[in-house]
Amino acid sequence: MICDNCRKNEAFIHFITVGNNGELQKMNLCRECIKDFSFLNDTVNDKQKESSLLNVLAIDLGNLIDGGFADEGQNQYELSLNVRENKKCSNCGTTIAQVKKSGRLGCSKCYEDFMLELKPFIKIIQSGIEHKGKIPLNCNKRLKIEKKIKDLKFKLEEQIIIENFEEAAKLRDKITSLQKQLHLSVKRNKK
Amino acid sequence: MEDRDIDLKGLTDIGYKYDNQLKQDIILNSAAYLYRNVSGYKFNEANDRTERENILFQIQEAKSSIKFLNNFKFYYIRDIPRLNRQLLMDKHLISDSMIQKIAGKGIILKSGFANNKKLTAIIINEDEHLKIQCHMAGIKIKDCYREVIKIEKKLEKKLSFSFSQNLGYLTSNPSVLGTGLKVEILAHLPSLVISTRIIDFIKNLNQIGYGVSSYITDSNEIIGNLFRISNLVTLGKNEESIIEELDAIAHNIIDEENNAKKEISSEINFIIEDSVFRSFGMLKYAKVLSFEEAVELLSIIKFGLDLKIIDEVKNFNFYKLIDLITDSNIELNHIKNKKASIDEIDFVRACIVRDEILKNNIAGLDPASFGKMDQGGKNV
Ligand SMILES: [Zn+2]
Ligand SMILES: [Zn+2]
Repeated sequence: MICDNCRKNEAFIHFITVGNNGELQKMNLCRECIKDFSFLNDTVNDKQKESSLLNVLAIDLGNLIDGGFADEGQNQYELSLNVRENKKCSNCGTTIAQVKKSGRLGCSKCYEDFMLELKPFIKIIQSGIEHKGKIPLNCNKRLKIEKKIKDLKFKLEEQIIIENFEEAAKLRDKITSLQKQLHLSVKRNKK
Repeated sequence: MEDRDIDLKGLTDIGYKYDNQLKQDIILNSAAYLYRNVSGYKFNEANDRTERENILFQIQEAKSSIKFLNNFKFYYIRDIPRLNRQLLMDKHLISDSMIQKIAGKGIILKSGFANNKKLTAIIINEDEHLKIQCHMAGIKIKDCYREVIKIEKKLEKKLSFSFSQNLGYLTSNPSVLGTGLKVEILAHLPSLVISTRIIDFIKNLNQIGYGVSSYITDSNEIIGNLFRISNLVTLGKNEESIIEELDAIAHNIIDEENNAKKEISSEINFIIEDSVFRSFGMLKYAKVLSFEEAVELLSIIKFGLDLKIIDEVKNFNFYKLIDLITDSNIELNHIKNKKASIDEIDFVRACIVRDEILKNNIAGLDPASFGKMDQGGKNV
């Protein structure tokens, strides 16, 4: 079906609308025309527009990564573009160019290695860059142990100040055993 | 020794039990998807067949050691026949990418659908290593979430998932990063479409971080006034707020659609009536119906029923009927044991629709009569 606006491209979104005289009209628009279409453009600010476009138009990750650098100045951006395109993940070998093409990352390490490039994009599509949800069970355990160690260290200092060395020795042993546990859980996590 | 004898029945009757009492008019369906990757492996974007097979093996091992998953069945995608794969796609359980490069891919399905209100499945090595999903009729976002998180919590005792303190659960696709949680509702909104309010409505949803897409996966064409609405944001919000927001949106959608319906019903014009009766005529007399055409017409009939414009049709469950008339379901359950032509599928579809919605189905419609209608278009 051809786009009702430009009469050139293939239409991809279809709406039924009611005309001035109450008649039903089918409206067909192409990708190009919908970009200028008022309902996506008017009051929406740029950030929101981009995220809404991302969904409606399925804009690729590449465009948005580029967009994220707009504030860096065009020249600097273009200069660094080639270097950036060839940047490789140290673990899986995926390049920035590949990420831009597919919209997908190759491994966990990609997030570390490409953080600089990804940050502007993630900020646009997500609500900030800080995880606020569930954390893994074994990670939970680790945090719990870390907190316990902190608490015990505080108590240990107290006991040393009041020169209760017997109690302090007990606390020190507890801390050492917890630190061993912590080490084990970190190891397991890395595996 | 590999067990290649697969239980096809479990792959044919896929769905959930419809609750006839349930309000399922505007919000037809809810779903929750949880994405995870097993740590220590590359994402599926960068790994190879061997690595995928190792991941699959590890997940399979975890599954078999979890009692809770005893009534879940594992299948290799490579062992699933073409039509059953298509059925999985039509049920929105797997995506197109799942049936390409099928090595190292699998699905774990909860068995006994007939008695289940939930359709639960774990997909292995689609875009992410794990996609845990649950679908239910009506507004059941919280229940769907509870089901997927229960499974995830069992699995995390056996598997370690890629996670970073700052970014949360790491995914190949950055748009599911963080919680890895997508929740979705399927809404039928004919009144909002006819009143053109749908445009503002989509705009507003986009602004608060919700995406709207077509009923058909990976298509941008809206059919049957059906809209999938899901969260675009997975990072920076916790699971509870993601669920509660969509739940609030779902209730708001019902109000909006009902308001639009009320406004239309206060001044029904002949154009709307014409559109309803025209659709009725098509459904009543058409010999063949494509899926898209049938869904489009049924949507308008449903709208006409709600507005009491038409009463020659039975009150039908729209979503259940859509589910019934997909190509794969027709081929698997109505045209057995042979390869069907598109015409035959479209013919059977027209029969099923008439059977389900006409009060007086006088034409004597029999799906088996395909090809025997040479005399004046009448069935013999
Ligand atoms: Zn155009
Ligand atoms: Zn990588």
